[in-house]
Amino acid sequence: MSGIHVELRGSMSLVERWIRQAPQRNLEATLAAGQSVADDVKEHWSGNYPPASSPANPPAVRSGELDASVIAIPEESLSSGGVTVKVTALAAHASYLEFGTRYMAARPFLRPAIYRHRGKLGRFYKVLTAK
Amino acid sequence: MTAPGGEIFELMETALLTQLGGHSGLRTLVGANLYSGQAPDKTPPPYVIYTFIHGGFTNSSPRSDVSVFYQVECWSLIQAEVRTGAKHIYNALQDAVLNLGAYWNNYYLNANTWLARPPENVAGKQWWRRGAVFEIRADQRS
Repeated sequence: MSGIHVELRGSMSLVERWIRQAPQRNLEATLAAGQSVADDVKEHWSGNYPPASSPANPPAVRSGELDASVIAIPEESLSSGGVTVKVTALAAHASYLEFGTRYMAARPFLRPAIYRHRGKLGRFYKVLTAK
Repeated sequence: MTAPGGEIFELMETALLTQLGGHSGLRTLVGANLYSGQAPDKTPPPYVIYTFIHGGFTNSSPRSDVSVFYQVECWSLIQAEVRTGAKHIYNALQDAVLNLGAYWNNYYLNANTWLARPPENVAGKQWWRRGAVFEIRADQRS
């Protein structure tokens, strides 16, 4: 017979186990990715206040409220089963620092962390294909 | 305020300012009121603020290559003005080619995220703002 014939054989129990574990692994991987971004934010504050941070740099730590409010929150869609993780800063003044105000230049801290993770998030999902 | 990283970022900010200032619609709306980071106190609205957000050298190719993000917004006490201003900002920058001198080539300039923040209430006045975050990519000429 000419041509190429490829046959794949696998253990059904292995496949079943992988499928059963996939949602949990997906949740863990996504949460780890989000936590990594949140940790990155916390590692890049502009030192302690005083002095205040310069414009376009992350804020300096003053009371620690903003630092404590940066968290990664996982959300699972009930319809699709998809998992999302939101990295958010819950402090009331967080958006003022991130986007700036009429009287203060922006001190972005969340968007740079996302940028630093660009192209690196895939490594968190290698666990999904692990044996 | 200058983004970190050397000459290319200064060139980029200067070119960005030139590009915004060269748009006739935006010039009609805000005049010369284009500022980096923050407008000086008592600047009459409307005006445009551009702010370095993040970015740097990508280290993705042997040739020097940079990707930076700027937040560019129009501020005003009149909501309709910020809508018009944001439209002019977009028209001035989207797919534009910045002149970065003899050694750098701007090959990408696009809106990455729209910004429409809620208004700020300051001393009984509502300050509106609208614009976008633009990504600018440039590499060194061979």
